Amino acid sequence: MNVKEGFKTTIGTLFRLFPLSTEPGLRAFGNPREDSPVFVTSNFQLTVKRVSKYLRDLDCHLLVAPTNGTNVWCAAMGGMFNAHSIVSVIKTSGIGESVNHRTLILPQLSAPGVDTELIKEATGWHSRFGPVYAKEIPEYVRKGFQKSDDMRKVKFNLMDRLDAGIGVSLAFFLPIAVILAIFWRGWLVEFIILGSSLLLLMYAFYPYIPGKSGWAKVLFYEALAIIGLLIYLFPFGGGSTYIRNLFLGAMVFVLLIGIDFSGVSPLYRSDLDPLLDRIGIHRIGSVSFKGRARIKEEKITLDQSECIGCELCYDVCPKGIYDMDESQNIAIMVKPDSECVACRACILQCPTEAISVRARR
Amino acid sequence: MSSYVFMKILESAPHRYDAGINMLSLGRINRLKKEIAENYISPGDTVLDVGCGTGTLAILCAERDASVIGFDISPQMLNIAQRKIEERHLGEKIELREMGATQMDSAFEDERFDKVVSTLVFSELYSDEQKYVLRQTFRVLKPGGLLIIADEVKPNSLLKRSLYLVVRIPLAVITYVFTQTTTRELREIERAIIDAGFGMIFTKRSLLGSLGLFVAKKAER
Repeated sequence: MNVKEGFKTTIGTLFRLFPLSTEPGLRAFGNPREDSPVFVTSNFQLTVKRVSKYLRDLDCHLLVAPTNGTNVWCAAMGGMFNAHSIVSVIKTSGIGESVNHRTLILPQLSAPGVDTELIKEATGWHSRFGPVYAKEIPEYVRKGFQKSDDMRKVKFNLMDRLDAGIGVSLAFFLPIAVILAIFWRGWLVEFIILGSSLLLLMYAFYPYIPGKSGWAKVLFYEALAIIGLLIYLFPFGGGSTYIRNLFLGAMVFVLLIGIDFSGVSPLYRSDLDPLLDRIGIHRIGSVSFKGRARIKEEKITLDQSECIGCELCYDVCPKGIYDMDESQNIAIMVKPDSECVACRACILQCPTEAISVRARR
Repeated sequence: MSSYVFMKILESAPHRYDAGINMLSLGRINRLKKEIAENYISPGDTVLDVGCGTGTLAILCAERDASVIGFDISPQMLNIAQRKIEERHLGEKIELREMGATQMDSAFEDERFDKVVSTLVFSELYSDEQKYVLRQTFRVLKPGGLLIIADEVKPNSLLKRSLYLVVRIPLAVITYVFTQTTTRELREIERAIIDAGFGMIFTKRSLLGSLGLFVAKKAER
């Protein structure tokens, strides 16, 4: 790995909130032949790097679509990863001349943004959705391009949580650390220790903290801090201003870390986006969240009489809301719609418009 | 001294784009556009403006009695172009289309245009996209037709490059903070133009070397 790549990877890992692009276009892995599979991903530098790691031992093509340097899920949700970006890279890369088939394998988490019908109309390429995680791709290929249920599921295990937590929070921490370093140098060490331990703690215990939404979990932590402070103040007399300030600092940290606590994973709906939308901020950088922020007030419905049993909704839902009723060959909703993260992937992919959103009454 | 990274901020506020871009380039981009229209556009020409934005160059060409088709991916920019065109009663001379550069393959037939012009567009395309647009441009030009590109380029002497970076880096940082995007100066555009089949006939760089004009010709049959 050269120095520039390494630097970019570090920045991409630590400051996930900011886009970091890499050149879109066609990449080859192993010795791709005319019938080798064609995978697609976004042009976020870190994404391409991680996907490449798992494609290394396969013979395949990878199309890096222009998504303004944003990762697959955020770009698909924010309108940067769409049929346009894929059509653009199909046409400009000349992939059609390198292979004798016309099938793209898209990341499952691109389903909220990519209208596969449009790609087909514009270029003749078919699309199918591969696994959520790039690390499942070798297994997916070995199984003859069959996806297991496990490959459809978004996980949020300890490493993912720490990875996301650090990537999202550091961008808030750094400017504060700089200000402290200039004006209140005495608090810098406390800031770093308190901030990083709360960050690790909050993300490590994420699934075990009571509260359904991210903000409810934040409230729980704030309550813990207040209880801690009260215990310190009363039974122990609470003599030291220093300790009291540490408690207050911790409360501020919890807020900072948790401001979009549930927005960091495709498993949960963001609490922050609907609020920003309401106060008139519809986009951050190139990622817009207007439509999906509003869906919170609405309800997904499935009209089974329109269902043709194509399994697409079942295939793309990151939460496993749908299952297939094999005897009737139609989709059924097996989880309550409160589980839905409002990504709209099923609505966009359903070929018969059997799935729609209605206002919640 | 100029850098067009600010262009991105201006694009998010199209009503300020014209004034802003002109100011950033110290008036040079408008001079360059006038120069393109005066030196290369003849009455009766059919002209394609790739990424016409707010239509400044398309209007200059139409005023020289050329008929122009301009396309751009941004509907906001096209709205402004439309208004400017109507104010000057050039509606019959200029046709605007909302489309992206990669739709060129199906939008225009072969050998339709005498001139293809493009200003401050190529630096926003990724490298495969630039090559694609050049190939398409070659296809839609008549034999003997001209391609005229004006854009931000990387200065070629070390001294000019260092001076240029001193100005560009802070601008790029500010732009990134506001828009999380940046443009990249063109590199090796001449190579790509030649690879697409053209012959270079004229190149010019501004004093500090950051603004370049490239004119290339599709050979006569």
